[in-house]
Amino acid sequence: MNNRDTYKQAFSVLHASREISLKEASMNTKKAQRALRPAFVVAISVAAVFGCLGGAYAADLGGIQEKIRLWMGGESVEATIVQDPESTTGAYEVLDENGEVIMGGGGVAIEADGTERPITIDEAADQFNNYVDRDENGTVWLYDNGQAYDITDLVVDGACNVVIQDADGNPAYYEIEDNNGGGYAYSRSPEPSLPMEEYVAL
Amino acid sequence: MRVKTETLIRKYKDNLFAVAFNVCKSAEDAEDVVQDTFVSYHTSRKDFENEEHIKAWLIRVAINRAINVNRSFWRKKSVPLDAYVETLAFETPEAKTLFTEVMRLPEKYRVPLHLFYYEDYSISDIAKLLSISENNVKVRLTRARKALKDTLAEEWDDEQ
Repeated sequence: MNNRDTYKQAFSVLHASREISLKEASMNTKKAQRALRPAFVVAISVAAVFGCLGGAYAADLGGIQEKIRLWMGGESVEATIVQDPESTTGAYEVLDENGEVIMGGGGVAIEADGTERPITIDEAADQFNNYVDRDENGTVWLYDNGQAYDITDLVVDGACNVVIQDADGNPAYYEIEDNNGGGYAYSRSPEPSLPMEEYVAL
Repeated sequence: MRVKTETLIRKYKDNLFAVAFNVCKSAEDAEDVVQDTFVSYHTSRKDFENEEHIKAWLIRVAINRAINVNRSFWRKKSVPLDAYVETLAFETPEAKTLFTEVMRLPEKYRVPLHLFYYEDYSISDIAKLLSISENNVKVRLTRARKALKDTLAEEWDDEQ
């Protein structure tokens, strides 16, 4: 056998065994559990699930928590950010005034020397000001650090991918998906995870 | 053109799993990548030129997602590579040795090697898939081949 045949024989043992679910909701959860490595200097990537955690309440408000103000539906509201009790580091939940979990997510920061660390509660709070929501008129908004983008026409079949320039001129890549009426899940990253042509520039 | 996602899953899920495994070196992570990649296709309205175009897109997305998983803070605890290799049904001891040696190569060598030998992509195709120059692909392939030749000797000696 030549090298190509040898290689194919060796790697033909690999088979996907899990059944693929096209309605896999856990994809959003997985996205919320992943963060991308930005290049150079301290940068943060947080994936958050917004609006799909209804009914979940924080059982214990002990531990690290902080009051934050969030832009929600165009209004500035007070919320509490707490460290996810099921996570030892890096994951946080946002609670409304009734203690209901309205958002969750986490991320990792990469220092200039390449070392990774969980984001701090302050850094997470900054990231939770970025989210996607549909208002009462049916308009879908992407909020990013105080800027609002109307992405209604870009959401096709419940999903869209966009790239924006943040206040510092750096790109932020969003992959957004409708959680079947349970709000929108998104991942935000300084690096694309899809081919560039998949993103619409705003 | 579009092809039904279910058809693509049937035809390409093992290809995506293999290329994702090549990046992640973890079956669990590779399964996640395959799942996410097909969901991305399913929710995308992108129009493709032909099925080869679709396959290349799927592979590119799978590689990017697998790289992101590798860089994720929340990597799953998975079965160690050595233990997983022991569960695979290799046809020959030589196949197992090659598999193990490939997995010891750096990621930047493994992926072009896999696309070249397993997916039969040309240098030019690999350059486009990985967004690197053709010269870069050639260099990586040459170094990967040399590393395999150094360790496998006559078991990796026939480029014809």
